[in-house]
Amino acid sequence: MAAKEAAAEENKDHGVLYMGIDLGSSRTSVSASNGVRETIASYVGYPKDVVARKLLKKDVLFGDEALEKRLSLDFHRPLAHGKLKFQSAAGKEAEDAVRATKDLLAEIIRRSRPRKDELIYAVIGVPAQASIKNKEAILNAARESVDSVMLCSEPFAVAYGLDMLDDVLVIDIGAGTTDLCRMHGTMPEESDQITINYAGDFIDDELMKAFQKTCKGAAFSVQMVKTVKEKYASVSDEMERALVTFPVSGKPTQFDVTNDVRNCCRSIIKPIVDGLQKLIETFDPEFQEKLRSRVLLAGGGSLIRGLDYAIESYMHEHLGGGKVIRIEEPVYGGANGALKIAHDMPAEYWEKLR
Amino acid sequence: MPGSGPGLFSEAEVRRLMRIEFERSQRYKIPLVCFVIAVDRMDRLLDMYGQDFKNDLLRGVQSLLRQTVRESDLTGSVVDDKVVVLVTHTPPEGARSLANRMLEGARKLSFRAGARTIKITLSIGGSHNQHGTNLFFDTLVEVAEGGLSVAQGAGGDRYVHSELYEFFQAKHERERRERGEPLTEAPAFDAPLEGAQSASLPAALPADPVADLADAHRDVLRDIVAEEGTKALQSARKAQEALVHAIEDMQTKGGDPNLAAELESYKRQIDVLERRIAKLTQLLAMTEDDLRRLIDAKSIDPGVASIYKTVQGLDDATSNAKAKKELMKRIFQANLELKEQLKPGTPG
Repeated sequence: MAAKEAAAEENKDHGVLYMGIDLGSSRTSVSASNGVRETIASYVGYPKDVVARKLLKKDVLFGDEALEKRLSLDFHRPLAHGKLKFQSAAGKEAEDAVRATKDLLAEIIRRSRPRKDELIYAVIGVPAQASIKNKEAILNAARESVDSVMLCSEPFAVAYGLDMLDDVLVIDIGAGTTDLCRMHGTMPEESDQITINYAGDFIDDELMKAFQKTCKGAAFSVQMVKTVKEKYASVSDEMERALVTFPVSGKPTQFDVTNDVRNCCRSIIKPIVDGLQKLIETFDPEFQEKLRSRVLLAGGGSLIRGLDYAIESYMHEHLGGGKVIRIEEPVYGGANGALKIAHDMPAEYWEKLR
Repeated sequence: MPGSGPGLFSEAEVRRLMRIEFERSQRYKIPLVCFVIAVDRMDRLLDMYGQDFKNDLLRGVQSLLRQTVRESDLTGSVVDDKVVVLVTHTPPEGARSLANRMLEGARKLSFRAGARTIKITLSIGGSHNQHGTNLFFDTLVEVAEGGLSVAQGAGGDRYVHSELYEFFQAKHERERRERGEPLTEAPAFDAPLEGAQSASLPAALPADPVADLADAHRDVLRDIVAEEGTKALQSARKAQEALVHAIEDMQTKGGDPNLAAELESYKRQIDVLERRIAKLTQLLAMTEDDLRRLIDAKSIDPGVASIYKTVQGLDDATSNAKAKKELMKRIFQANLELKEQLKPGTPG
């Protein structure tokens, strides 16, 4: 058996490109075993008409380019709110969401520059509590571009990538959802995972409401708000002043939105710690202390300045202590972990799933 | 190819002779085929082996053409190292076999460049005068040049017979109208021999919003065809002609009291035609996709090979190897179950 496995392992470096893909609501990232790492915003756009197609000279646009040209496009964010849109849509909209997901996956795979003569084996990180319908859609989308594919929970992939498999709590703050996952040396089960909607999009919504009050008469879009958030996001008392310029009756006007940004970013701390509390209190009491002191903060949301300390201090206040570690590469954490899983998976498993 | 190369007419001479031959063929309804021929990768060959080699090569091609076509056929140079060949008394069906003979002959040619033997291939674009529309000589050559571009774009070593007669003809008609020249250079293939009036678009329509609309449609169609090189041309042309006829009728009935009713009827026609154009445009978009795929195929990224050994693999020396193997097994089993669950026919 050992010899068989060794042979299988040896085969791995011949003609197979392994990929870890983090299919997120906001960004889709890939880490591949050829050393290529790529990330794109999870936006897909199709030219609205022939005029737009001629102008853009493309049939489909992705990421920031799609965002920039969205007025000329049928614009899709296929994984909004942490799940494939087809669940909440019907008819053409559902078909479009599935098509956009397929195209997005094909694009991120293309960007990882696989050789034509290599097989592609991919592990795709999906939200912890993705429905079976969602998984089916993602698998179908992926199968057109890869030779064998597996799904795994995103927070598990993050923890696996960091080799932190025992007594760890993972907070993976995405755009659509925040996944909380309890790792205890085995595969996390349903009771080990909690998914909440207090994530990047929630902060955007809160900022929209807050800006409407603070920036009287100003005109702004969700995308503008998102840009402000990405630039200034912080929960620190001593944060940099957030000065933004929005048009008021067509005239650019400056507003100070520092407090709004801070308060809205803080709005996700309580629900996250509440979720952690649920995972801690239902864990073996002997290991609760250890779990509390190993909290991994991952995902794009972990880029909010001071969030690790803020969660930690809130945990001290409400859970009697805690230690939060922000992962080094929030954008690629999930993809790196998924790549590691892809590598560590025995070759015969890949074969059986082809 | 040098215009004054031995055995070849200069560009001006060959054009003049070809025009005469073309007009004679049109007048006496003689089937005629035009080829525009280029040596594939000529620029690269010139860069690599120099002008002398290029001259040798062109002499070889010229000799091949002489052997392939008849004495009475006209062979001459045009700009950018292309050769134009006018073959009379040859129907369109015969053009392909003649072109294939040239392609085959070129493949057998070999040239010496120092110690190396260089093989060449040709790209050939073709056109003919059997299309049934009014045809200018310039149109004939340009249609063949269009075919040559497609042949070169598709990798060379092939013959492409283009059918973009309407597009180039419309372009020439428009240019002549703008210059105030008559449109009678080339009588239609089946038009009366003497005193024939051109059946093409009116030379100068009076300023009129409806005429402007027709012009706009023509421009849109031209742009589309120019960009896409498409198959949908004939239908689009019919649509365009119908619009023009409508406008002509409107103009001749300028004082008619029933003009408003007729105008309404034409508007409906225009609406139908616009919808047809939209449909054709969709078809053109598909053609554009095909072309883009061809272009993409020419610039394929070879990719980056997997470098698996630089990343940690799972072996017994890995920390927690046993636990990790168990985790891998669990992930695999979960995915296998999912696969079984999603098999068609499995209850949901």
